[in-house]
Amino acid sequence: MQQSINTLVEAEPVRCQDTIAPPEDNTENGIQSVLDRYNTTLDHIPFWQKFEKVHRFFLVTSSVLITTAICIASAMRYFFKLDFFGLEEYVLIAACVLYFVGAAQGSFERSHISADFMENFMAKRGGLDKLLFIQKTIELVMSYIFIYWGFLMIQWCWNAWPVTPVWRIPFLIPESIVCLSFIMMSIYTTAHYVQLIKIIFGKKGGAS
Amino acid sequence: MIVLGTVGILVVLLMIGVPIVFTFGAATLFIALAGDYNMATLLPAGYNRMNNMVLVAVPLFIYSGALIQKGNIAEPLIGMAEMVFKKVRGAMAIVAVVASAAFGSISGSAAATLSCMGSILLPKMYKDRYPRAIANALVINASPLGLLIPPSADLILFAWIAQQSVLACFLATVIPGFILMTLLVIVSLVMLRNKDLARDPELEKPLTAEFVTTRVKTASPAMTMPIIVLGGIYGGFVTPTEAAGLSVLVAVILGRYVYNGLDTRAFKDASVDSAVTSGVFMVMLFVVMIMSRLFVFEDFSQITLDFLYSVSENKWVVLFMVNLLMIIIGMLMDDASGILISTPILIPVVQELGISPIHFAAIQGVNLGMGTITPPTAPLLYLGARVGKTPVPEMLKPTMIYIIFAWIPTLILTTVFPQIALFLPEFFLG
Repeated sequence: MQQSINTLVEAEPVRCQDTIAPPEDNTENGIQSVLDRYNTTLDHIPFWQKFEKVHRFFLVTSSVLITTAICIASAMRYFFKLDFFGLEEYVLIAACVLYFVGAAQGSFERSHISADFMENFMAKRGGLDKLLFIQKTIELVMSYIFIYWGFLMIQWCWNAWPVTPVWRIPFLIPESIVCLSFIMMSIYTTAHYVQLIKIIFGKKGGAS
Repeated sequence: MIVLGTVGILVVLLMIGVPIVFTFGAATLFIALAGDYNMATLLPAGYNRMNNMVLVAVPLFIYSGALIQKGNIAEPLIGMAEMVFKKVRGAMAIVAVVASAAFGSISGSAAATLSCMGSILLPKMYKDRYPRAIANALVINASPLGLLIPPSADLILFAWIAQQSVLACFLATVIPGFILMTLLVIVSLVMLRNKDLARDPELEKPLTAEFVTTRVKTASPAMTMPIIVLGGIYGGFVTPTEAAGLSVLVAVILGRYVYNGLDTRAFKDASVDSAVTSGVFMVMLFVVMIMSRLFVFEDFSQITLDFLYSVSENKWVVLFMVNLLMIIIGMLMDDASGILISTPILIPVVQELGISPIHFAAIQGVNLGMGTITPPTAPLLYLGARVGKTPVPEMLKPTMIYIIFAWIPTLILTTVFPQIALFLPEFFLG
């Protein structure tokens, strides 16, 4: 239910933050600069920017569609006593797009929630590169297991062919979206991993 | 053996900072392999459980929070609250608590509340010579209030996982929420009693009718939001999901046409930011749905209960340990993730102890909120340090004062006196 703490701090919406004068002794900033050394952002690379544009399109569209559908349905029910029977089946597909494209974008911008206190600790004491290597390797392996799970879901759906009760929409549609999202998450996780490896083992890398 | 392995995986991976969704995934994989479960049937079942209209309220409330933030809707409300409390010494402390509760309840995220409220309130508080450490610690301590003040996205989740009435859960946390708000204000005013605070020069002057009218007029449109959302839900006109949809619509209208903060770019950014927040969270929910099913198959709750009973058979000691466990969970992860992991395991445990799940909604809300600000891990404390640019060690003392004199008393009262949580649900819902 929230962005990762790092993303929130990096994000722009903090309108008045510029007016806050930094205190003289700020150890948090020092840790942040060590952590920044391992930053693997993708959004400044033209190739990856295209992916982000596609995500943004789907996220804005699905958000607007869900809100519009729910508002119209409740207004019609309240004012005209009309019920859009089965509308929720379409809303839930749009919600599925929102959830899982949102999750893929979360991997793109590294917004998945994690406990970052160990990173802070290692940034202070040293060994951050080893910690990040272990962390990201586990993340990478799990992201590929998620793809396998996504295919298992599709396989099950293909065989059982469940459909929604009113409009008979095949469940294969939302579950394919889930699988596609897992594939995208793995692609972004891999891209971040490759960048991290370059930083750790390449010339740019500097152990903390 | 499976239980120990799962707990080990969860603890180790969380500690080393693997994203929570993959940590849950690894634990699920371990149970599935060790217990020889067929993932092909579990995965669609997990998806089916989250394919529910009630849950759509969660992203919509988050969306509404993002639009409020981008649309400059919060500022007039803060200005109005400032005027109402202008006679009180340390008025900004009251404003900070009330504003964080209001924003947190809609945005459904303590971290988003802290980021937004901190950026608006802290510069103002620093300018008015509020001690940096106290001001920052207060905003941090007030940011999890959204867990307790309805309509809370976290409570919708809890209700859905625990299979309880959303309205009953909303009502259960109202009194604990107000107790906590009151205590946070009292503690702040006591800490600020001898400080040389400045005030907004506009508010120093005697209030003129024109000044009051302007501030009320500016804040009035923004005040329609809680009226529509809360009035709609409690008046029985709309479901929580519809109320969430309407709150988005109202936020767009206010942000675009009344407060002029929401241009096309800001609207798109708010849509994307909130969708990512929701997506990150919902994919965790998807994995938790599968994991919680495996927990049921493996009888995790009974094993947890047996373990707790092996330490003591006294209900209050067991409840104390449950509280402690939730605080630790809150220290390790954010509020929503804490609800996702603790609810499926602990609901059967507390029911066995004779505690109503509705009462537990309130206990859990206070516990997880406290965990997020409790050192040494305290995710919100570190976020707050960066938002307010105050070093963590400087904030430790005021934070501990808030925990000891506001959070712990609220937790004890909520745990020991079930009526605090159950009075409103019983009164309104029978």
